[in-house]
Amino acid sequence: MNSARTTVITAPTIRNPFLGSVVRNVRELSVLPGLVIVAVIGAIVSPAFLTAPNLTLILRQSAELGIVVIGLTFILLTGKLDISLESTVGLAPMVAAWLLIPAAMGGLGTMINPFVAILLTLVIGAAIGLFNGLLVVKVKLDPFIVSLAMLILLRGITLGVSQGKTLAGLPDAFRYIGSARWFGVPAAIWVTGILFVIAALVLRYTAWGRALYAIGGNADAARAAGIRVDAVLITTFVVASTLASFAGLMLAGRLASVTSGMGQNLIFSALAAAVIGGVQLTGGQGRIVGALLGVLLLGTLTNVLTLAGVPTFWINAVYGGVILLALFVGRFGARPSTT
Amino acid sequence: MTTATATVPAIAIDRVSKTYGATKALQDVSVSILPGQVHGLIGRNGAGKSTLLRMITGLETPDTGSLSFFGEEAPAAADAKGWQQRVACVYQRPSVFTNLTIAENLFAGRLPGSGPKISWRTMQSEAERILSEWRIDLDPRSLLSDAPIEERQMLTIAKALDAGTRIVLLDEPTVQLEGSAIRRLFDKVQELQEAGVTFVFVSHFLREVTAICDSASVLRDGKLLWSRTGDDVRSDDLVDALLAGQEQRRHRVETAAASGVTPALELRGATEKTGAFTDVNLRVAPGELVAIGGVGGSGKYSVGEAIAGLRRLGSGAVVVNGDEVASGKVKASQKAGIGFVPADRHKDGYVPQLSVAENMTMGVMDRLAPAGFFSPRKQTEMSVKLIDDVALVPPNPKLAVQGLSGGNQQKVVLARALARDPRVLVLISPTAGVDIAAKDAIYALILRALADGVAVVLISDDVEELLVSSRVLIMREGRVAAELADPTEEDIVRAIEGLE
Repeated sequence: MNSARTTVITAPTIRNPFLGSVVRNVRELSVLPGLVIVAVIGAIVSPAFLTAPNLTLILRQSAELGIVVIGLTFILLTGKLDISLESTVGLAPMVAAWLLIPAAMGGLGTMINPFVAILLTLVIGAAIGLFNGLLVVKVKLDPFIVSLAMLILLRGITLGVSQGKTLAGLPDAFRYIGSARWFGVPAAIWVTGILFVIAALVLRYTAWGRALYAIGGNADAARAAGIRVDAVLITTFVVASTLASFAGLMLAGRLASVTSGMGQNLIFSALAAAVIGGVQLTGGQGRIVGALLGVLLLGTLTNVLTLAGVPTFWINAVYGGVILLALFVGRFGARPSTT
Repeated sequence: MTTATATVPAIAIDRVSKTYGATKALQDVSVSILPGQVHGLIGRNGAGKSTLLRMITGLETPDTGSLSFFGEEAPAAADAKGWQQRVACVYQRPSVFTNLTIAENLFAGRLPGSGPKISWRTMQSEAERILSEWRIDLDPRSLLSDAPIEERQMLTIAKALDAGTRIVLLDEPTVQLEGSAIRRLFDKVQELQEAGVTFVFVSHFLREVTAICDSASVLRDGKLLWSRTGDDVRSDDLVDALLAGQEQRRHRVETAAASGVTPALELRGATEKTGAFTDVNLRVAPGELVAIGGVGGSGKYSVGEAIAGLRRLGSGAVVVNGDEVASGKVKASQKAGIGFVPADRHKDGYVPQLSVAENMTMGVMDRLAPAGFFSPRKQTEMSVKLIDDVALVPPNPKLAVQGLSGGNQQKVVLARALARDPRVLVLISPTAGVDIAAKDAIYALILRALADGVAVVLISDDVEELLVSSRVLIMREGRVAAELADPTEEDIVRAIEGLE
């Protein structure tokens, strides 16, 4: 066949299937060297870094971010955006806890069953997602502005409901998922890991998952091909917000309380993790593996900065600088050119 | 009619050629247009009109040959100001700043004032002067987006002439206009022509060319067929010129509807919700081919999109094998057995970053994944079969579609339409912008589908493509204006133009 000579192919054709898959994964793998470098620095600056408790701590502290990143990745793949996810992290468990907790401790004291409260947390998350999705898809508002407004609105409701107070005294069942340990490892780590596996399978092996890529790549073509673009987009927003509310539940369990500032600024780390991991803001490109590596990089970085004794006031500056560097490496390091 | 008797042409195009890769867009074209003439430029899609227009506006440099304006050599390619001073172009969608005021549009690029400070007052009064000269009843402070398209075109011309330009190109200016607006535009053109302004008028409507032009050129396949002045510009001559030297058609499909058979596809008084077409009736038997032609804006594409479920009907129905199909739902159309190839494959046809396999199977994910989860292996198997069916080159299901040639991208879109074993195929300009080999492959596929009893509706801008069918419907202004049986090329051209 001499067709290869006359046909323009953007990606190199590789015969070895293993090598081929490595090359295809190259964008995601470009995070790995960064992760290794940060880990090596961590091991050098502190003997405490490479210990089981510390590594577990990194994972545990990355769990909530990870779950938000899963949902955010889904939305980014479709080419949309929802920055209000961080406010959902705070609002959903806050409302549930407020209903749950006795009036003496700042709640409403309905004494609803804690399991109902957990369910309610997720339902509130789903409802916020539905609202966002309808505004973006049906009212055709710009997702950035819509979710910016929602970010402020939901944070405001959280403050209003809690009167700025921290709600403690949560029942055990409500705190369970964020505080329990399974086989000596925090349940939150297990659950986050399982969610990442499910997310990867959904993106690769379900019609819905593939539809996210198709919509992000070319929504008009997806519509003409018979994909129910509007329905898929709305469910994406619902799924992402539900995941965010679950992350909020886990965070509440870890802190053994619900604070009005829960989730604040989380969306910036989430966006950074996704983009470092190769998820394109323009939609249609990226993988959940990359997003996971992005989360681990940021989690490890935070931990190392603390262990290294970087002055508290300088941690954010260093954090931001490293994110910038990671984006640089991703852009000019190993990314195949796309047109 | 022509007032100018000057021997120095306003535009002199001298033996100009332009080649893009393997395509000879223009070959040795010479045209000379005298000051004060309205010169018609005619030719089919791909005849080289756009290339010539781009050359006259300085957007393209000829490989060989030269251009001059009023006896002066054309400015250098980089000298955008120089070109703008000589030539202005009005497109069917005027490229202007709809987000700015009318006054700002009139003075864009030459804002009045001293130093960095803009004098809004001067701009305002100057804009009022221009608008009153042109008898355009608009407030210069209002946004251009509030002005109708004809006024925007007028404003573009007004701006150019105010800036001293004496040559105006009109690129299909009437496509978006109503009858009365067209008359106003033509009146203004004639008025300006008498004042010595030179026009080049590009149109698909031969009637308009004969009405307004006092000279004309016909292009075909990058070559100048003829160039005439004065009374020679008659519609019959233009039709002859368009048809002359046409090679024999290579494809012709004779299909006949057997009587008494339930039509595979039927449109019953179909009227699009926003009025893109009205009361369209059509019956296509299994194994029958019907072509639909018409000028841009005639509603022919909308008919195809409505059958595919991309447009909603206000009244009437799409009926497949006797069953009415829910309108405005792509999935419903697909499940009823309709396969669709959209007009613009880049916009509606494929997802560039995704693989051939994913693109081909995009519409059948419900079949590949009945329980939500699908097997990539099944997807690959299915796409391998489709790749074989459409003879994709290279036959690699994993390749991203953006890496394929135009013809092969179109084959992917066709495979997507075929993936569900449709009973009805709606193809809009399926061979537009593809090479000869891919064209032949696509026609072969259509033939095979017809032999398998698929009803095919072929909608096209291209007369040659319409000629493939022995039954051709012509649409005008959203309605079926003519149905031609076994037409010649001349029949089709005349019907599209609305001659006699």
